[in-house]
Amino acid sequence: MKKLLAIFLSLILICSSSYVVNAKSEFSGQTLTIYNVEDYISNGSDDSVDLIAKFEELYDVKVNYYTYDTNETMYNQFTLQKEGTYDLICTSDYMIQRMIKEELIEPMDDISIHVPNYDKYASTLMRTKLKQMIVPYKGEQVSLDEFAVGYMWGTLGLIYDSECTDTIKEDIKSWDVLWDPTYENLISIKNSMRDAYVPGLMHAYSKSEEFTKLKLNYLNNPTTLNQTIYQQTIQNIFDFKLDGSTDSANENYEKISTVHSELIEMKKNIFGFEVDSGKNDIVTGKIKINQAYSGDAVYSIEQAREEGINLEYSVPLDGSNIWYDAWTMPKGSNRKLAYKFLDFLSDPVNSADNMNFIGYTPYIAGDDLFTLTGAWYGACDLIVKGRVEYDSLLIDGDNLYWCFGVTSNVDYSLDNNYVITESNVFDESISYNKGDEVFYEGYLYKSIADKAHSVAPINKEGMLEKKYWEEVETPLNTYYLESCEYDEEYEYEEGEMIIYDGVLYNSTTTTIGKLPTESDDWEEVTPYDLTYFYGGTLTEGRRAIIYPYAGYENALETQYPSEHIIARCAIMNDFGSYNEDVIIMWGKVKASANMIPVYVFLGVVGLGVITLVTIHIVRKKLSIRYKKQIVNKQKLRFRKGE
Amino acid sequence: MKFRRKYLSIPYVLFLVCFVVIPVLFIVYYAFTNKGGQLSIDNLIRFFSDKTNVDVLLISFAYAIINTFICLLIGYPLAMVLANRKYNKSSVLVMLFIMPMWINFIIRTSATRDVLNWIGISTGAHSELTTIIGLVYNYLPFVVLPLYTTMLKMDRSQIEASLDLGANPFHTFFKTIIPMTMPGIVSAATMVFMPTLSSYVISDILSEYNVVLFGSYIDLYFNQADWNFGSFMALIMLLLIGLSVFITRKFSKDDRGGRSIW
Repeated sequence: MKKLLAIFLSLILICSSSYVVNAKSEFSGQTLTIYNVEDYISNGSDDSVDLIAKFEELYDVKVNYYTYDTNETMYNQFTLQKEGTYDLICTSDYMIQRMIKEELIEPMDDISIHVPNYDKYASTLMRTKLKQMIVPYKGEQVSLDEFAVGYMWGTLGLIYDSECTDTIKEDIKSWDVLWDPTYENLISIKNSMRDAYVPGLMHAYSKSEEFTKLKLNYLNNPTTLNQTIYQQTIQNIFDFKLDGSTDSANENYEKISTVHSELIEMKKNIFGFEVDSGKNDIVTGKIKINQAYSGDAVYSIEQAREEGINLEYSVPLDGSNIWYDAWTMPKGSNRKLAYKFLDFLSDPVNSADNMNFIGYTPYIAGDDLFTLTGAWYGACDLIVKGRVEYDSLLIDGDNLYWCFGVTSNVDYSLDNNYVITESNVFDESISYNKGDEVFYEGYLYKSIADKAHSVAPINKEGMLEKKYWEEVETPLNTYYLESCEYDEEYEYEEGEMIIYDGVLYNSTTTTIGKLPTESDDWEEVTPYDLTYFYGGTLTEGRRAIIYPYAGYENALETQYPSEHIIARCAIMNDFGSYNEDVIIMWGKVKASANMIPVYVFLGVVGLGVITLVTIHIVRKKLSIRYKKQIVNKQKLRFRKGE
Repeated sequence: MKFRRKYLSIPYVLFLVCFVVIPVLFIVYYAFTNKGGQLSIDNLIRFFSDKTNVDVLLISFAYAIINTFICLLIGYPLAMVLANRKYNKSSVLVMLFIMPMWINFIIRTSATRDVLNWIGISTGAHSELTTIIGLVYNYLPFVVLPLYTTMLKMDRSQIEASLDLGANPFHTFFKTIIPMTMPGIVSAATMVFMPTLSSYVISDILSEYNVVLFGSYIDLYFNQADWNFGSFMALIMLLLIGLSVFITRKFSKDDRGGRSIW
């Protein structure tokens, strides 16, 4: 398998070899029709990798790529097309459930044979979530894992401006904030039936004493058992009872009507509903709190950071929804090629490109994704094969180093590498002779001047000093390491990490000569363990731990919710036969308005119209009578012979 | 010769059948069947048994009336100014009022949303007001144009005669100018009233989905794949618009004998 991957990789890199020819002979000229959500694949814009084009080139096939906006649109469109129109459809959990139930999609064959990358790299935890969703299919109970290959996943929560009030950090911990008059007209939620349903439901049911007790158990004593119990409780609240008895039907209707009244109250308090504007509105400050998917939140947080606004994301403690999108195969699809595409997407290299572009969290784990996550949010073990981001932290055994690296392929062990030490970095106090090589801002330069000099390779205008230096291609496996031990004479910039007494610290401001243990300028870094997700997919010896940079803890938690957060998130199954009732409920919520002014207004207009018409008719009649009178009078006069 | 002329209408008739007649038949079919495809009047019962449905319809009516009224109130004097050669020498002013129509209305509405929030009228807190502002802004050109054309054709000598014969400007306006521009008023009103009744994008964007008009309500059901109920409501809207056209035609014929373009 590893060998195959190596071939695969080298193939992308050098684009030659016999493999291409083989692929050509097998799939050449075939087409693959894909139906996916808008903006949900790396498409080549903004210097990203065009995955579709890459796949087309790799297998010499044509991909027809279609997109949709909501799952319901997809369902409407898909069911209108004739069988075999689409080869692959990416959609959400509950929609897959519905499509299986209606026998619109077919089970996957053995994943380990057909989609080996997915089998190897997909997170076990997330596949368990797929397995937990059960649905009847042709008289049997099947799990979604047999029908779908996971793509992206995340949570539903609230993104908020962390400085909008003094108490926001406390308030945001519960869905109650949506009903809180302090935030009147400052909150927008998704204009989506299922997403609005979650806060309505949790706000109503989390008030019970039993629930509060379980919640406290989960918060104060987060053992696996307590977490499981809590998750099951939330799951029970989410689920409709489907045993068909009158009792359960009553209970279900009660659930819907409770959500109905909760949401009508909520509608009065919030700013409004949004389809796609929330992301930007929270950055521009129109709203302060926005219901968001974790993947969108990642984008908003980054966007706001550039504008100097501090946004954070939180999954309310009451519990929320964990969701996923996955690929399914409709009846009559080109299965062989579809498997190839799924395997292509599940390749960690491509998956990392996808995550880099979309911002959502893929199902796939593996070195490339972990390195990308590390590059975004903090320091982690150095990558094995792939890019090393400039400015990352290398953890080698117990030693920590800053890596002012050059992006290249690096081996995990330090021995085989061209390590730049402080001695071969440009220093203006040294004079350089012809042929000397120095590192300057991550790049390697060679002196070409005949006389010894100490001119920096790059001048103040950012131009190369051509008389003195020429740029040399940096050898592979190169990085410059600097020890992370605390140095009291060095001025640390904000965000720099040091190690002191075996503990990792992060500077929160520009600081010099202050001991981490004694100064507020330093903050202890809390390691963030992602073993639950990455465990078993990383190169041996590499730990799935990220040491987040100051200010990036929340963003990291948004990208990869901790096990503790996942414990309070339930899957929201398809509403089944109750879907129609929930639609009606949602319609009522959306249409709810203060009707009295409307009635009064229409009444007044109606009365006004009736009065006007009556006056008009009466006047007409009067004028006819009046005319007749005049005529009669004239006739009379005429007769009298005047 | 006559036979040949008939041929000229074939493209239009084909177009009409494909894009008007058949879709309407589809709507009727869906409206009177249930999910299983059997004939039923469930949708009719369902529609009138739930107060919310009728309420949404009434809300749409209220917005349509208010919008028509305000548009006429602003548009009428405006059209008078534009039609007056003294103020509008080279029709540049008319151009200025028509120009916003060159920009796609969704883009225009999104921009309006930002402008309104920027000047402090929050689209979330004053959804009703911002919806009306948006509706008026978008439909004003539809009022100004028909009024402007009728006013250009207006017989000025009648106004002079009215003034000469001793009527004050007030009387002249109500007894001479208004009756003369009645066809323009009627067609302007229909051009605003009917689309407002079925519009929903403007209200969606400018009210943050807080104001739900009938069009939006139908969309909600279509989006959730409930074709039958959605179609039934679309049919109701079709009938209502038909009814309003019928009434206005009757009304305009009664009063003037002339005919509006509708």
